Amino acid sequence: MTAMLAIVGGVLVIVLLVIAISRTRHSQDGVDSFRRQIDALSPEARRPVIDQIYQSTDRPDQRIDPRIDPRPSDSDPSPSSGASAESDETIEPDGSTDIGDTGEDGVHGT
Amino acid sequence: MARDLAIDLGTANTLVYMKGRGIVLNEPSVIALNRQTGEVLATGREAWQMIGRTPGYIVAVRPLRGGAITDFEITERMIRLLLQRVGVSRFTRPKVVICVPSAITEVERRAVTDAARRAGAADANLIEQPMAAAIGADLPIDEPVGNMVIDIGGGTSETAVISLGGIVALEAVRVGSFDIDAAIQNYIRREHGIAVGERTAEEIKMAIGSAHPSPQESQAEVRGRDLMTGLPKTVVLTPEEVRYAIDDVVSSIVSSVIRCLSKAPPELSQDFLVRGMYLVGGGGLLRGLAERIELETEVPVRMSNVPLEAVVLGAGHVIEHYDALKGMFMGARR
Repeated sequence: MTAMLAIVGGVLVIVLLVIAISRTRHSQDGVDSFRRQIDALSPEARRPVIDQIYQSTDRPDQRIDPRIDPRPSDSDPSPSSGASAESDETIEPDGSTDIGDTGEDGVHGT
Repeated sequence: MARDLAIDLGTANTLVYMKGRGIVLNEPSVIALNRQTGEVLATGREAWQMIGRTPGYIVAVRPLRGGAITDFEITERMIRLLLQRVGVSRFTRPKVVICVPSAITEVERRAVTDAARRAGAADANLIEQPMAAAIGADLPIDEPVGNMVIDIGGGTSETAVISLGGIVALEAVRVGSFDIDAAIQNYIRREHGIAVGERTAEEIKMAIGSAHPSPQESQAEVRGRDLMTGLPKTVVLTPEEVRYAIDDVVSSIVSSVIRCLSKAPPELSQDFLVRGMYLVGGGGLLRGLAERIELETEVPVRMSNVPLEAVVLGAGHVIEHYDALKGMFMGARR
């Protein structure tokens, strides 16, 4: 009987120990993963990725923005999603800008 | 072995970042299909050039509107073709991180991940665009300070306050630079009685469009089709007219920025006065927009050095540090 109680007690202690350790580890996991996340977001960690684009935008021939690329001809216009100072417009002698319809929706420029 | 990918699936353009390689693709989010057979004829820039210039049996479409997938099947085919172009095949299935607007619904979220998985991704996770933009714009989001980013895309505008690697306050509107183009189109149709196409409206925006007056402004001669006679006609458009035409859209964007500012905790609000807000996205390049926001919010506005690539660069950084940053994926924190 005593032996049985000792075994049950021992098992109970082991179970409690396992639970306590796993809880500690779990809370430590949260701290570690948050630390890892913050470290991965540091400017030093981001440097290699960010620098890639600065290197390529430094060289006009490697610019990846289709709107910044020099356009080879009117037949190869570049798309854009936003607004930019560059476009296909013709500057008129009076300083105005000449924009012809590109033929969308059945509308053709003159 | 497949290289993992980060995709900025934008309403206007799709950019792909390959782990260890950088940005490998930057194409318009357009697909051209044979209307009769359903066969894909072109994607990206090639398809963009076809918009409005196709014979009856070809249709060139943007499968995303307002940052959401409007045609699931076409989007899936477009993603599959884009992934094929960067080397993804049946045997090389990469992990993919996709940037999406933060305000997308659960259904839209599932549509994007399903489309990517069916297109060849082994695993697809989503990240909010403003978070990716803040990472890519090199803001110190690892610090306990307020970082504010305004991302104006083709179909959505999102403003977020970010601190310690997480979003503190967020405001999103389904309004973007395509709505500015549409406003210009409508104005010319209404006030001048001529029809112009989407791309012409975009050219007008880029040439003389602005959100705030500037000293050097010029007017533009715009050619289109007279709605009454059907004949080609030229009209002169002034910058004031364009400002008036787009004012509702610009005001809606500015209002969302103000709402986001009002949601920010006071401790972080004071940081904005010193650090300013950062503009990213193609729509942020609209002349005078930074000045207009600055005027209405009394907070300095700065333009990111990489406005068009910030989002994909941020997602690219996440794919480079996948294990450490997987807690940032949409759904991971909720």
